[in-house]
Amino acid sequence: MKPSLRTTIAGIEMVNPLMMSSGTFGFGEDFTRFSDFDNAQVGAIVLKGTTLKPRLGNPPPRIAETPAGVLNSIGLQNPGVEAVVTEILPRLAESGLQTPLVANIAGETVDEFAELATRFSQATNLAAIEVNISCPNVRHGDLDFGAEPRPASEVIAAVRSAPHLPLIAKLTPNTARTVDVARACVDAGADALSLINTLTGMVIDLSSRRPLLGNKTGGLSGPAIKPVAVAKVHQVFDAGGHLVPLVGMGGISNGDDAYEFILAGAAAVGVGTVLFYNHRAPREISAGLAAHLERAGFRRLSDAVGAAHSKKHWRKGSDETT
Amino acid sequence: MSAPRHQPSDEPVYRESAPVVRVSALRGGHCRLRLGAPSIAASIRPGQFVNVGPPGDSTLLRRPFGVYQTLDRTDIELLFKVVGKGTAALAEVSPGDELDIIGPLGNGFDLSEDFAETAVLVAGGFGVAPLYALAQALREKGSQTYLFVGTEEDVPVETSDSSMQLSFVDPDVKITLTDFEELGAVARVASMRHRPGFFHGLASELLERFLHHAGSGCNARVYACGPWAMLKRTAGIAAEYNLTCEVLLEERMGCGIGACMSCAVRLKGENGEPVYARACVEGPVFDAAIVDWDAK
Repeated sequence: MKPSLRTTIAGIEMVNPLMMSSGTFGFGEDFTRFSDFDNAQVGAIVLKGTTLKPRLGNPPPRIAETPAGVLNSIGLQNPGVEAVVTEILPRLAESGLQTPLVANIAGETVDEFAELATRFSQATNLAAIEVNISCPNVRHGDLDFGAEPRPASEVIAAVRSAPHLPLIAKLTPNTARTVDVARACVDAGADALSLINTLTGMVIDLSSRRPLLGNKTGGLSGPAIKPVAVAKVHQVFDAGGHLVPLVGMGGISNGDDAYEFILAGAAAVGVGTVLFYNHRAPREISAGLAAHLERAGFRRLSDAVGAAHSKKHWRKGSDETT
Repeated sequence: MSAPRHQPSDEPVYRESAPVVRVSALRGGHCRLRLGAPSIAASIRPGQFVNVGPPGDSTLLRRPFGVYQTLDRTDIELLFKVVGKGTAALAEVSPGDELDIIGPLGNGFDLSEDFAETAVLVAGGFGVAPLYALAQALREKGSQTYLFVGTEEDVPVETSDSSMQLSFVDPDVKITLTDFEELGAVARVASMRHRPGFFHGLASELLERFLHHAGSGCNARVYACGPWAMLKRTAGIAAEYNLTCEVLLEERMGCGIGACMSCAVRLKGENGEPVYARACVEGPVFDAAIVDWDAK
């Protein structure tokens, strides 16, 4: 029997575990220009990071290719929550789109995060909110919400007090305290954790002798960061991250990569940078992942979650009791 | 983003495994590459671009290229200069190799109006690449086309001596681009170095001389592609003469279809506030009047 890829995390029911990562998929309206791409092929769409007010974004250049990776510094250019809630989400609803949508919110203060969550809870076609406490391209004074447990916890608690939608806390790899931050987010009420956001990086232009990106630093994504991401997922799962589902991401380009994240402890996976050069990746990843599960004898995806860990751990990732 | 043509297109984008039909190395590290891509060739318009996947694993991201011309409605021809890793790998392909390409992408030049009896094209170096298809389309519309190319290096395409006398330059300024001349266009090349047959100065100075000589009644449209400083000067001259000017802007790009917001171009917003548009979908061709020329 073919293993099923159907996945439910934090109440989000998905046809497969592939969640299109925030910032790589716009608002779900770009890739459909390819005749062989259908949003129905993906598990969920995490929308472009949204702020309270419209945001201009960082000065260009905003992107540079690095060995097996991409460095970006978009700076959260977005039309603001008002436009997303009153124009974009209704348009997506009218289009008949069935794929679960996840808003991604980025506040400059704890209160802004709470207000964003409140605004998004007015939308009727959102499955969850991803709380972006980890954008490397936007500074909040000296505050980096995702780097330390306390500010991370404050943000999640504030967002939690807003209505009803499941919350996914998106974690940064740019801290030595990933596990502590993960715990703090779960304790504060996060229903799931997604990791990792991009790694801070820089490219210097040799002819101008200046940082190439307009924002000087950017966030590194793509295959180059995959081992870092797998290690973080494994580490968080091991430390108790199996208490809530993990969305693993970082350089996933094919079924092998997705399976690796599942084994490390991810219940779902983010697909991002690969979309820039291969819009067929979601289909290919699904097929590759299903083939791995079948070969290994897993009847369903959840049975494989965390299988890279010793048994006492990985069994907790599954709902089986035997 | 005020003009309708700066709205993203909803036309289909094709992905093709495009066989290399011919690859020719030209002077100065320039390269001409003919690819079999029937779906793209049948639908692409001047100013639109294709995003070319790397041969093998040479790079991760695709690279955007304007299309020099379409051939037999089944093939497209690219003209580029080797400037980095991506273009170096592309210059090394052989006939029969296949490249993974997507297109047509972006908004092309505005050819909806048929009034422009005179079209002036201004290019910097290999910025001439996307202008040949435009010159072909302008000829079909019956426009008289002029092309002024500025370069300090080798001219990217074949040149010859024109026998035509022009009133706004000395008779010894006679080097023309053969492809354009064969279309009936008038082409000249400018260089800041003294080079025989070249106009000594900037391509935009040729534009200025031409417009000055043509006088105030000149109903011309200006199109430009090349380095920022050249485009800025060209846009300024067109504005002085109250002429519509379209510029094709080349930016570092990610996805090529509007999702990632990498290829930002700063425009003057309607209320005076700057806005960033995406070169890949709102552009790469922009009305020069709305580009914020102080952005770089």
